[in-house]
Amino acid sequence: MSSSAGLSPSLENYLEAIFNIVAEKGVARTRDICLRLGIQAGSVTGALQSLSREGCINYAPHELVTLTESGRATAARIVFKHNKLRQFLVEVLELPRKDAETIACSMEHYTTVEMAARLAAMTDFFANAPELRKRLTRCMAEAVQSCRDGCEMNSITAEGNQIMVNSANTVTLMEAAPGRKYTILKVHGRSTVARRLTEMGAGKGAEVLVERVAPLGDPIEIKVRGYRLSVRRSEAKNIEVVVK
Amino acid sequence: MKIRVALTGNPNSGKTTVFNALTGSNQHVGNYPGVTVEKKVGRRSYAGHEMEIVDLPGTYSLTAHSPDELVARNFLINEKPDVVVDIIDSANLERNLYLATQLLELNVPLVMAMNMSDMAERSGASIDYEKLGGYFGAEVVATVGSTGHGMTDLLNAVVKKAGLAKRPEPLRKISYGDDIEAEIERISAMLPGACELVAERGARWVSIKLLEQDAEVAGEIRDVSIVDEVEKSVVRIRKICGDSPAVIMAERRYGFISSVYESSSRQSPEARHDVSDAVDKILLNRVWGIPIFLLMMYLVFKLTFTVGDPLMGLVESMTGGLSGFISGFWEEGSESMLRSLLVDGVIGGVGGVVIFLPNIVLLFLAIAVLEDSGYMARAAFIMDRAMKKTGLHGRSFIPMIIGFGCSIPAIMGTRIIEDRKSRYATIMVLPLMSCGARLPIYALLIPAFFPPSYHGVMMWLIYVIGIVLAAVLATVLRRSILKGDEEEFLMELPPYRMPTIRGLFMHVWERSRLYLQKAGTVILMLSILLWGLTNFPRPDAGVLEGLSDEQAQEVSLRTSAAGRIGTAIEPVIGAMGFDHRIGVALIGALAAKEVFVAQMGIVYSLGQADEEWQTLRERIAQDYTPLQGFCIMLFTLISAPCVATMAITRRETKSWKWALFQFFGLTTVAYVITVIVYQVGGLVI
Repeated sequence: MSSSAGLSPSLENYLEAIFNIVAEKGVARTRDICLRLGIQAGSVTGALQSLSREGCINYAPHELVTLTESGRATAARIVFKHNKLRQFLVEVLELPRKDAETIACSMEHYTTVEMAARLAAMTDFFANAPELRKRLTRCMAEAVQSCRDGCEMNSITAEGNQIMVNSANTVTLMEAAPGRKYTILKVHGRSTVARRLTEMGAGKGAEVLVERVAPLGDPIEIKVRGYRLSVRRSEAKNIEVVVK
Repeated sequence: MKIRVALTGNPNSGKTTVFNALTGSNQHVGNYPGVTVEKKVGRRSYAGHEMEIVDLPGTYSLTAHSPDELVARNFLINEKPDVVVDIIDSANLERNLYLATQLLELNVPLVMAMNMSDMAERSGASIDYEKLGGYFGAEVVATVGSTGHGMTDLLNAVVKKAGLAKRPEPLRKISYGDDIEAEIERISAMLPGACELVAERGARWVSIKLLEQDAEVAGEIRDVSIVDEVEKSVVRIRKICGDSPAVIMAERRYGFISSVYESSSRQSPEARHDVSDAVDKILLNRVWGIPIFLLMMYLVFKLTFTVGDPLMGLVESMTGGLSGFISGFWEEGSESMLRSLLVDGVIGGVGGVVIFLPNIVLLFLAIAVLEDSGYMARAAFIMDRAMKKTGLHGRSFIPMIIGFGCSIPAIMGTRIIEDRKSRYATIMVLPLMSCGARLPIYALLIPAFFPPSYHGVMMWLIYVIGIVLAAVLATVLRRSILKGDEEEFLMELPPYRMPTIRGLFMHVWERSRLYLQKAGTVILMLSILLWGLTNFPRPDAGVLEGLSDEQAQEVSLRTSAAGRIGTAIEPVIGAMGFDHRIGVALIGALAAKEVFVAQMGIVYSLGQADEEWQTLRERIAQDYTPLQGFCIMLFTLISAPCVATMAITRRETKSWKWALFQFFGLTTVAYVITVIVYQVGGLVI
């Protein structure tokens, strides 16, 4: 499964940056994109033109950059892969956050959504199995030690076979496309929030539709169990959904 | 027989309309209502029964997340009403049934009122009520609160339910799955004798609440070993199910609801876009949403001031007529103390406040229309991002708008905010929303010092200063002493509805009443007290001889108790450009803002009868500069909230600490800002 419409890693980085800027500010300016990627204004134009040719963004010189429907979907996939990879690296492999971020940044271009979803399942699996976690931590510590000693990586065996793969298409509610129906898989984050959401009918298994984003970009309005509910982006990020 | 009935239900389920339809005008409201945050009690005689009906605040579940939900929950659990009526929005059945599942578990005598049944039918839904009732062990009736349809059925069901010795066994128990059920059983076995609730509600209910980590119920358990075991169970469930028991159990309840819904619904509603969707397309449009919102707010204030002005004139001439009528009992130029007390003290003081009632009623009417129609929730939705910047909450927006009318109902209204810290921050800055009581001050001073073309601008300027300062102070508070996690913003956007005249009237009355009450009690008392302070002690007769009227008045004032206090604080307030006369009036304003105007009136009308506002304005304009006038407005805007606000802040925060912090904090800020404005302004001008 080639997830990203044949874009080069560098173009994918641009797209990802635009997606994140739009998510934060509602619109993306060329200046913001340069700042985020740490590059000169001159080199942006070419990349934006390429992305525009690929049908990912709407772009004309001196105007705001917006994502097209397909660009949004592609970007959402990249962000999904990035997040799942980073979580896996931090929570399962226990790499330092900074390293995990850098590695996730490059790996995201060479992996599939399915693989990311499988890694995510593994992250969840270990989060719920503290005993196994401890053993894994020990194994990894030993492996790293012996690698340092003999520069030879031992094979690490993790005893986990019941990996549950939800679906290759899980995204967070924040990345969900407006007007499309999703099913809620899990509510992450603080337990009081998870509880409140579940009590209000937005728990596991509920069908949810993103209705609109507020004029200022936050919160978002969703439809669940036949009524309208307003949710902040910070909560939407914690609601994992899959296309129905 | 006497029957105690509790009305409960989700917010927006039409609970209050049913309450009104049941009790008619025979109701009284708990001492201070906000956005229906206090319980209301009404009476109804029916078929030889005396019913006491309590309308509880709306709640989504019996897990209390916010203070108003706690009121509802505690009433149901502790007061043990004879019958509980759950008002259910039939058009939004699934979520509304969630509360019913909890009432089922609580094992209360339950009547389910399927409200707005007409709307549900119109959407094509059809429910087998008898079957539904069977699952919940409840009587089920169809009602339409707005037309009063089904009220007789509802009353019959209540009487029937109250007459039953024991509730019927429900058709099906809510099952939480093997893992959780095993833990429930284990904990239940330890419970007998652990607390009173076990005997009252059963061990199963208490176990469920303990597993849900319900703080109120857990607080009842004294036995440490039980607490430990519960903790272990929670950890175990989390391990097996991958989520906290509270979340899993809530999911299970929705599972129960789905199966109940499937088997008792004959026909599901057609999924279709309703009117609200179409309206929201425009009102919440990404481009038009904000301009429309601003327009709405503009219209609210436009209505308040343009329609309010002629009405205000009417009330003014009425109080004028009254004072003329009373003066008529004495001969022209009489020096009677009683006449002075009644005309200058009482009518001058209270009348000056009542004049602004039309404005306040109109503002509250506009707010009620926005609330009852469903737009207010949209306004909170639109404003949340901006409010978040200051560390507040979309929900803080509604009390803040009410604050332009009166701080007291506004502070009551903050109970809809779940998070304690952001609620307190909202309360602390609420007095900066320039309330109706400050209007008399602006109305007196602005025309005195500024040409007519600037009147509107000056008024807006004062309001804007208040809003900006509130934003700044809220930001500071939320980053210092009220620092907290960024909290969630879950808010229902109810369908648009046509407000009913009755509903509007109730809303307006509940809030305006507080303003009037204040005028009748606090301000009446203070007016008399301040009149006394400004009139006594009087100078010796000899001193006044040979002085002009004006000089005599000045001497009288200085001799009086109020004048002496004013003179004493002059060095402090002098930095703001205030003299002893303003000092006297400010002391009155500490008690209630409106008193400032009344007090200025008293200060200037000493010894003279029938002073009109216009003359007062001229006198003030003669004695002070526009900069001083502006500083007076600035200081009264920011400084110490009135006595009634302090009392309500103390009640809502349950501590004098916050009330005093608010009082002294705002006064200090006011002093610093006013001094800067006066001193710098003096250099510039």
